[in-house]
Amino acid sequence: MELLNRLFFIIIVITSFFMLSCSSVPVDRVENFQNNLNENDDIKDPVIVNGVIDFTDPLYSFMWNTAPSNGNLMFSSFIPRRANREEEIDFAVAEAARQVSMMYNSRVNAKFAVQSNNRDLGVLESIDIQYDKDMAKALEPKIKITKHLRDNEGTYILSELEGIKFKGHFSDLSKPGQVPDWLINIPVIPGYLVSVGTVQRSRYKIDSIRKADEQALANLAKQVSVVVKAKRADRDSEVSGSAFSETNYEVTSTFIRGFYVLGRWSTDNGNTYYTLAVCPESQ
Amino acid sequence: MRKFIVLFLAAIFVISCATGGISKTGSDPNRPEWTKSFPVAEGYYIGIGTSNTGNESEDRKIAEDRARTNIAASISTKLHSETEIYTRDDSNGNTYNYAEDKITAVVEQSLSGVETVDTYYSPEAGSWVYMKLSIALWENTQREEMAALISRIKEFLNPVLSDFERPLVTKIQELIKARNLILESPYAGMLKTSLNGENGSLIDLVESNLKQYLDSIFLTIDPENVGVETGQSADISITISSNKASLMGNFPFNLVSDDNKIVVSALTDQNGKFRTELKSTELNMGMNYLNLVLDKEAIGFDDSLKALSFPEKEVIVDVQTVSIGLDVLMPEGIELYGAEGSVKSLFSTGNLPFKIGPIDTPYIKFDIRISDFPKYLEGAPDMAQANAVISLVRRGKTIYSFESDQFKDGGLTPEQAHDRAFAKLIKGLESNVEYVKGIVDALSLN
Repeated sequence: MELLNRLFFIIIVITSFFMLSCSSVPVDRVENFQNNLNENDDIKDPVIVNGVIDFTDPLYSFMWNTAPSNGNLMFSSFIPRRANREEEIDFAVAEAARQVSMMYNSRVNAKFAVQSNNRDLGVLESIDIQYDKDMAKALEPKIKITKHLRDNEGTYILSELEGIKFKGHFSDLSKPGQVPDWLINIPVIPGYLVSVGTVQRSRYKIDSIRKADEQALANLAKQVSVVVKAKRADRDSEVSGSAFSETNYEVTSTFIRGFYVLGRWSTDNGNTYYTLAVCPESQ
Repeated sequence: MRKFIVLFLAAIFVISCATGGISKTGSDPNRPEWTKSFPVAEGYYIGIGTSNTGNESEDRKIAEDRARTNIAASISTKLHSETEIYTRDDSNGNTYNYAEDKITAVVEQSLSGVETVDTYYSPEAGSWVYMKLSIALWENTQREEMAALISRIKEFLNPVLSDFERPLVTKIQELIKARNLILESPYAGMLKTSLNGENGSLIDLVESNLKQYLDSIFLTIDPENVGVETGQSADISITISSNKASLMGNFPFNLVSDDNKIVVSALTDQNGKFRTELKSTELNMGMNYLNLVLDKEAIGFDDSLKALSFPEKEVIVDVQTVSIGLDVLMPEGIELYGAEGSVKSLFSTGNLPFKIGPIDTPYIKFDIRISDFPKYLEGAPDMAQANAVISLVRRGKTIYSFESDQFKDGGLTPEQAHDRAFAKLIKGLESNVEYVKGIVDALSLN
């Protein structure tokens, strides 16, 4: 009987510990965290952060900023937690390689329709992006991880592409921990088309970020070429009054070369995600 | 007055495109000036779009879409206005007339180079997007796109049109392709160039060339008038020729009957020739007026080219009835009054492809078989069953044979039972055309 009581006590303790570790407690910054972050240059082992990282926090907001640094193109990947946590880093590298392949060349097919009348408004959107998957696979060994974080929700890496140097320069568009100005004022970058993608959050951070990236890419494609169709009918009757119905439709189908994400952000409540992206003006 | 209403509503359309409805204004000091008064920028088309559904990310997209639509509407908008008068009766029997105006505005543009100048968002005012498009860039893009389109069309059209050796059907198909490309572009009437030695609007030149090629087509059918007996085939040759090309190519064509049935659908050989045997079984008895027409759909013509006249040629095929003998064999020991006449009338009614003549070759052998049922009960009616074997005999050989179902009936006497069963047999055969088809098919065998 005593043995049974002990076993019951141990189960309660383990269950409580597990539940506490899964809950979204404030980030417990480990001692010398900043040092760990800087020293881990060729990182295989992650810097483990208890709880859930807030990427708008100045300590971690470097993950949002992917503007080229010292001529290196930067790519950040956000991978949700998996059963086998050691697999997450492979997925993060594959995600970075996917972004590199998309940067080389992406085919964008995007459609956006808004239908409205006196009372209702409906929106329909589809964005289809194609990129060279074989190239992405082949690029994986060239991804050099510079920062590697892991929290209760997933693994996050900041990486560079080995062997490629970027000769241009983008002035600092994001300041650590501050709401970036590009959320409101879209920057003018000579020689580049600039766009901001905005989406509502999805279940996983990576999905939210991907969708915001895709939105930014679709917006760039619309700057390159877009077909706009709109039809509006206004009815004015002596008996039943006025009514209107309107349909707007945009469709774009083009290749974008040099799509590059300069920065990302999310609102404090995590409900809206933003991506600032550019591509060369001459496509 | 009506013009004024149209203009007023059109203005409302442009304004509504610009704003997407009225968003609530707030007292935000950071709110840009362009959200309060429509900005002016010399040399630019300006589009401002707003949306305030409460969903920030959706609002941004809708506002962007509306801003772009606004720019497209500034460039050109097709307006259509109609007024309908309705009549209404009230419960007192009074009649009222009332009007309903409907204004439809349609915008369709292909844009490139639209820049986002500024955006603004606040929970109260929603999302605002200010976009612009340089008029010079727009005009330059249009010029470049027009030049690229002309160049692309001439690139594939010139080699085909200038080469006499290229098949005519290819020339026509390439012209149709060029026409479709022009019409799908937003520059249909704006492309000016030279084609095949002529200057002018590209769409006019393409359509004029297309007409010339179609007019040059000459159709020949040999013979133009042919008679054929039931079961036989008419041998006809079709030739498509033109002085605009040395080779015709594989022209798709149809031979269509006057009741719009396609009798033959085929392709000519490279020289525009085709030879076929028209089977009488696929035609009606008597005169058949068949029209030789090019298969427009297979060539690539669509409904928009219906106005063009296409060459046609008529061939008359006279399907004549064949004379055939009839030999009626009566069942042994049974007399059936009027049986021979009934059988003869069976083969004389309806639109049969043959007629009954003297017994020669070939002839139909109609073998009537009647049998009595045994009578088990005293006073019960006499029962009999009848059937027939119908054969086609040519040069002493049976080349087709059909055995009918059994038909039973009864009577007060055996003779009456025979007559009634036979009458049922004739009625049954009248409603069965299977043996007629068999005879016609057998007649076509040589």
